[in-house]
Formats: sequence, structure tokens, C-alpha cells
Amino acid sequence: MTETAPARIWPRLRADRWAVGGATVAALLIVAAAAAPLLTSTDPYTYDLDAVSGSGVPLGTGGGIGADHWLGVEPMTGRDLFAIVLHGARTSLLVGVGATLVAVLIGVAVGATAGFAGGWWDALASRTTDVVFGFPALIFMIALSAVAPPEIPRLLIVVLVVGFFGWPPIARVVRAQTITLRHRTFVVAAVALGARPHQVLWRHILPNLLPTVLVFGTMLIPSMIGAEAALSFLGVGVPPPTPSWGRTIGDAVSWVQLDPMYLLVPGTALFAATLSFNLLGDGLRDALDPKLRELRR
Amino acid sequence: MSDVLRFDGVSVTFGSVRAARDVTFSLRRGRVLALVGESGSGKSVTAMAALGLLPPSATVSGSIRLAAAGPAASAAIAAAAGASASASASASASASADGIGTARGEGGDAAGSIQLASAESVEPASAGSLEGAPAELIGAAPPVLRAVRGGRIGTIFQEPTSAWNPVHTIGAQIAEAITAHRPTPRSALRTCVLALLTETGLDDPSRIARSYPHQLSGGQLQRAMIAMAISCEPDVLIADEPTTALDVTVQAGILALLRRLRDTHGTAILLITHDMGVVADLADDVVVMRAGEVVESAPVAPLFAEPAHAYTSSLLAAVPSLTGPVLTPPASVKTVAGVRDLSVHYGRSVRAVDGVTLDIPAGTVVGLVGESGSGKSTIGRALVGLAPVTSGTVTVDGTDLRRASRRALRAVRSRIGIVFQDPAAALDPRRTIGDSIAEPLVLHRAATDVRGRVASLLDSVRLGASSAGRYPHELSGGQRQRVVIARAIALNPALLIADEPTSALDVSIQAEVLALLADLQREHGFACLFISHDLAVIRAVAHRVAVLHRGKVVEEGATGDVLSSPSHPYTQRLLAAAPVPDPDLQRARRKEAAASL
Repeated sequence: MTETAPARIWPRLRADRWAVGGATVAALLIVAAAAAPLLTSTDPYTYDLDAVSGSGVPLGTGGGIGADHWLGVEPMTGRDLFAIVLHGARTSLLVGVGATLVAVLIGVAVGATAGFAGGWWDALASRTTDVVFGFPALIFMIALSAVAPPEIPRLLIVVLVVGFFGWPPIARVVRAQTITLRHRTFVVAAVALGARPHQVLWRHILPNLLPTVLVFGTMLIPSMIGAEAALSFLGVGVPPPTPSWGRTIGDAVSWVQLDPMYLLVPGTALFAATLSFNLLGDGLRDALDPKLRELRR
Repeated sequence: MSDVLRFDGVSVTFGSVRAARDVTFSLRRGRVLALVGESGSGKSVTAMAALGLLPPSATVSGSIRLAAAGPAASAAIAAAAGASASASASASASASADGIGTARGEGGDAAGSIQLASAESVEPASAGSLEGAPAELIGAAPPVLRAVRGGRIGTIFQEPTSAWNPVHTIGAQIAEAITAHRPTPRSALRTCVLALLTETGLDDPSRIARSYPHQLSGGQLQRAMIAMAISCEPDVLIADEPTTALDVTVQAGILALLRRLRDTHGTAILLITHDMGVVADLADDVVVMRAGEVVESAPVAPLFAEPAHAYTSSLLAAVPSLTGPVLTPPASVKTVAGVRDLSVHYGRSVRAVDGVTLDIPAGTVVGLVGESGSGKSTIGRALVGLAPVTSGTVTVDGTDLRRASRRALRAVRSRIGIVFQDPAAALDPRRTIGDSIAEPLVLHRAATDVRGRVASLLDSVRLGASSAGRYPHELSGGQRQRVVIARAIALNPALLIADEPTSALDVSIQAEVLALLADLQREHGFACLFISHDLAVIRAVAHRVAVLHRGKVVEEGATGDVLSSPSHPYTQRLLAAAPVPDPDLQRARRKEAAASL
């Protein structure tokens, strides 16, 4: 909270090797996902039955690694695993970022207004936050996917549902920070100058919440990616044939004896994505709050 | 020979930043050495180097030598240092513990002076060969430093409320400090704690010992902190701004206590302070530091009489004085703002403001003086409609703030400017200073050419229009306060409220800011409520003075009348307690105060 001018943050972030590594991997993943059709000529839907044996096990070493299929193929269908993972990254990142945006929007709106207004609105908002926080989210998501009308795109439902259950932690942190900010002298000064409540909120509270929200949002992305993977793993996420890491991992579990590469490739991608965003978030937090870092040493 | 602690060419660096450079001075038995300087001069860093209490990022060079004073103490150090001779060490430690225990036990019932264990009460045979050899503290092994800290060198910190652990009683914490250095039987410990608390002039020591930190006042906590610091009869006492967080009447008591410790126990005291009045009151020798270097060191009398270095004279000249001419109030009858029978109560028991009536005439600076908790800031907040008023009226520019609609309240606020105590906190860290100054103009749509107005405001506080794009963290404390002042006068206010505007600033910057405020007041002619705890500051800027005590105005009138011939005993006490930056005059005042008791 002390020094938040960008000119001071960048050098500190650049000096943090882990954060730079995380940022690089995250950026690579995003670029790869965006450019997926350019990076691979095969699409993730085309069957290649020549690549699998009669019993469905991929032919060749490492699950069918070769010139045609860089990371092997899917058992039974022979679809290209590289294409599946690459296009799966689109799903994962889209849900991860989209759901995070939903969660941050709701969380900041609820937390900042609750902390700033206080009174009955704070009581109501805080209790609601508690209720949503304690809600058995996974079961609700599974149930909702089962009854959701087919006209609504499943991807949108997943983004909204995962995002909706992600906002309580943000709301809590933002509310606490807002209460602190509200009593800071510069906010009192603005009130004493005749600023209206919305002007105080917009001009002074929100900009000073930005670093906290930025760090929290970055750290939320991996858990959102994980949530999507979990839903798809359970078969209630993005419907087939749209590629998804979670569903591929779910399928691969039953093949792990015969074709371990089938599990290893999407698993590694999921691990790289969550770890890289976590490292970036960690680095951001340290860069924004240098004091904290010295305390941890 | 009587050098107890000698700093020799001490330098402290943090990375590439040099916090202290080649600092040399020595403390003598029974004398107070004041280390004087403004913030960032390296005075605290130098002192903490002696205790090995600097963060790991600091590099210390030079030499800090602690004379081996009493045989008991040197035995303790020898015991700590010589790990191989642990058997004999523990034997000598328990022997000295017995001696202390009985000595304290006897002294405990005789309230007042206690005879702490001294060299005579312990067999000098255990002292060993270390007697006479001074111990080097820079780079000393942790056991040696632990034996020195609290054992040979006691420390008092600035903020007594945060220096105590809130979950333990005062008595338990002092007892812990004693047993850390001298294992003492439980029965003797209690007497010992009570004796120490009595020694520091606390009434009802057994109640104090039972109390938790939050149950005591700042002055009581600081006295108890001194009791803890002297619990092991240290040769040296480091007092880092010991009275800065305290009210002036409480400060006088603490300074008297330190003086008594120096005289009765012969303790060498290293007093770190920025306050020339405190220096004049207590110090025997003075070392003036600036930007990490010693610029002058001399005994107190010649230093004040004929400062050899230009910086010392500028420092002394910047101190506001309680003598000299005062401002005469302008002949004004129109009242710009005022409170009538104002009361602000919190709950049933706390009466922050209790029936105060105060008028602020046009073009007049009204000084509101009082100690912490007297309600002076609450009155300032009530004048902007930010305090929960219990009863009474608050009028600004013809508007009754308690009955005003939201719209009317906003309109009145455009007629009021506020200058806060801490300029760093009063500015939004994420906005440029130009944005901050423009804020009132934008909020009230008061200017068409906002940028031009900001530029001229920056000029009028002598910052220069080019600094509009800078952020608060890029400015010094004094510059930030100028920004806050520019924002406060942006709308040509009818009333300016300045709440301790210089308490967070160094004395030389304080002088500049006060001069700026006075100039702007003359130029714009606004009425001003100037809130301060410092009588000399009030005297320098205010036409009229109101003295506040426990939520009530005890005396009010023209500055010259109130400060030269105070009629209320509280005002008299306040004036007597404020130390003046002149050692001879201060000694005379002390004598006078003692005689009048």
C-alpha cells in the first residue's frame, strides 16, 4: 500500500526471477492459445484411426509421438494431442480470466460499497458474502449444469457459475481495505472539501484499492482454471467435443497404465498455467508491498 | 577515564546510503549528552548501533567501546563471552543474584531511594581479568550484546504506548527484564519491581505493577519504561526522543526524573532529541548532527551562547521563542465562524468537548492550545461538520452546520480550508500533487482554467508550477505540507483550520511553513483557527489564544495578554512546563518553579 506508482513497481517486479518466469510462461500460454490454429495444422476434432491399434492404444513410442503428432494422439480416436491441449488452453484461459473478471467485478462492487457505506447495507452485504462463501459450490455447479437449458452456451454458464462462487474472498478483502482507507486523512480531507460520497469512492477509494485487486485477481485466475478443470473432469463442464484440459485428464485416468503420456501432457499444461499465474501474483504482491517482503525474510 | 561509552569513527551504511559517517563522541558518567539533529540526520541509527539493533541490511564500521565499569557487570559479560567456562560463569551469576536480591529487598520498603546492588556488595574476586578492559560492541557476539542490552545499557523509546507488550502487566514485564540478566527469587522480584516503580516517581506502585499498558497514561508508561531501563542499574541510558510523544507538563516530569537519575546514580545518559528546549533543560554536552555527520560538539552553555557552526545557529534561530514581540489582533467585529456551548460527548463518560464557546473574527488567527485529549482537534472537526456534536451550535460563514442541508453543508465546506498534521497522510498517494490541489476546484466547479489556477497556487506556496506532475512520495515533508496548504487556500476560504500543521515537521521546516502561513493569511485575510500543543508556535502565529483543558476553555484573550500574564493556573502551569531553548534561562525557570512549590 505504500508505494504504488508504476515507475517503482516495474523495477522491483523485474528483479524477481520467479515472477518474471511466471509472467513469461503465462504470456506464452496466452499467445499459444490465441494463435492455436496457426501453430498446428491439424484440428482437435479430426480422427486419425491409423495412429491407433485395433484395441485403441496409440501406436509408436510415448503415446504415438511422431512427425504428424508432436505430443502423441488420443487413444481410441487418434486425435492429435498437441491440438487438443492447445485448443484446450483457449477454454481454460477463457474460463479462468472470464470467471475472474466476474468475481472481481462482483467482489469489488459489494466489498467497496459495504465498507464505504456501512450500516444496514454493510450488514446485508457481509452476511450475503458469508452465505455464498459457505455454500457447497461444487454440488450446486454440478446440479445447475444438469438442469441448465441447452440454448445457453455451456461455456458461458461455466464462466458465470465459477465466477459467481469466486467473489466472496475478494469482497472481504476489499471491504476491510475500504474501511481502512475511509479513515485515512486524505479521504477525510476530500470529505471536508465538500466531495460527495460517489466522488470520494471513485476518486480516492477505488484507485487505492487497485493494487490489492490486481494481486488478488491474478492469484484467483489459477483457482478458476482449476475449478473449470474440476467441472470438466466430472463431466459437467464444457461439453465434448470442445477440448478441455479437465475432461482430457478425466479421460486419461482410465488409460494411465497403457498410455501415461495421455495424462502427462494435459496435466503438465494445467500445472504450468496455475503455477505461472500464482508466481506472477506473488511477485506482484511483493512488488507492491516491499515492506511485507522484508518481513518475510 | 570517566568515558563510559565511546563512539569512535562510527559509520553506518544501508546499501549505498550512508546514514552516519565518522561519528565520534563519548558519554561520561553522570553527564547527559544530547544528540541533536533533524529527521534523517542519523542520530537514532548511531545510537542503535551501540545496541546492535540495526536491521541486517546495515553495515557498521568504526568502534563503540563500553568501559568495564562494575566487576559484577564485567563478570556477566565475561560469563556470556566465555562459553567454555560455563560452570564458573553460572556460579558467579548466582552469587551476584543473591547480592542483588537482598539489596533490593532492603531497599524496597523504604519508599523513594533504593540501594541497588553495586560493586561493593559482590566479591570483586569473580571479576576476572576483564576488569578495566573496555568491550567492543561493533561486531560483538550475540551473547555479549544480550548481556549489554538492558544490563549495561538501558533504553527508553519514543512511543511508550507501543513499547509495552499489551498482554502482560507492567510488573511482569519489568520482572522479566530483571530476570533476563539476574536470576532473582520470586519473592525478591516483587519488592524489587515496586521499588523501581517508586524510584521513578509513580504513585501507588503496586497498582501500576498490576496494570496492563492500556490502563495507564503515556506519562505513567514512560516512567515505568524508565523503571525497566534502570532495573539492572545500567551505566548508560539511551533515551530516544523520550518525551516527544508526551504532553509538555508530563515532559517536564520525565526530564526531572532523568536529571535525578543522572545525579543520584551517576548514569551516563544519551539523549536523542530534535527539541532544543529539551536539550537546554537536560543536556550537559551536545553533539549536533546533520545528514549523518557531526557538525559541532560542545558543552551546552557555549553551544547555545555562541554556536560555532552555521547549521547550529540556524537550528537555534528556527526555534520559536516564548519571548519577543507578539501579533496584535486586528480591530474586527465581524465573526466568521464560531461555536456556542459546543459539547461533543462519546458515550456517557467521555466528554471530549464540554460547553465551549469560541469566536473566530474575520482576518484573525485564533490559536487553540491544549494538551492531548483536551478536545482541540474535535473543535476543529466540528467546524467542518465532521464531529458528532452532542449539543450547541456551530456557525461558519453565517450557516448553522447542525441544521444545514447536505447541499448547504457542501457549500459551506467550499468556504473552509483545512491543513492537517501529517501531510504525507493528507494527500492521496496515487494522485499527482497538481490533481490534489485541483480537487476542490473540480469538486465545486470553481475555476474554468484549473491548470492555470493550480500553477498560481503552487507559485504562491513557493513550490513552482512545474512540480504539478509529481507524486507525494517524491516530495519532502515540508514540500508536502505546502501542497496541503495550497489545496486549503484554493477556493479563497473564509476560514482556514490548521490542525497541528507543523508537529510532524523538522524545526527549520516548521519555521518556513509558519512564515508561509502568516504571509498567506496577511495576503488573503482569511480567519484562521490554529490548533497546536506548542505555546511558542501559537505565540508566533496567533492574534488571539484560547487555552483548552479537559474539553473546556479555561482562558481566552489576546496572545500578548494570555501568554505574558496568564490568569488561569493551568495556563501558568503550561507556560512553566515548556522548556525554553536557553540553558541559563531554563535553569533559572526551574529554580523558580521549585521555589513556588
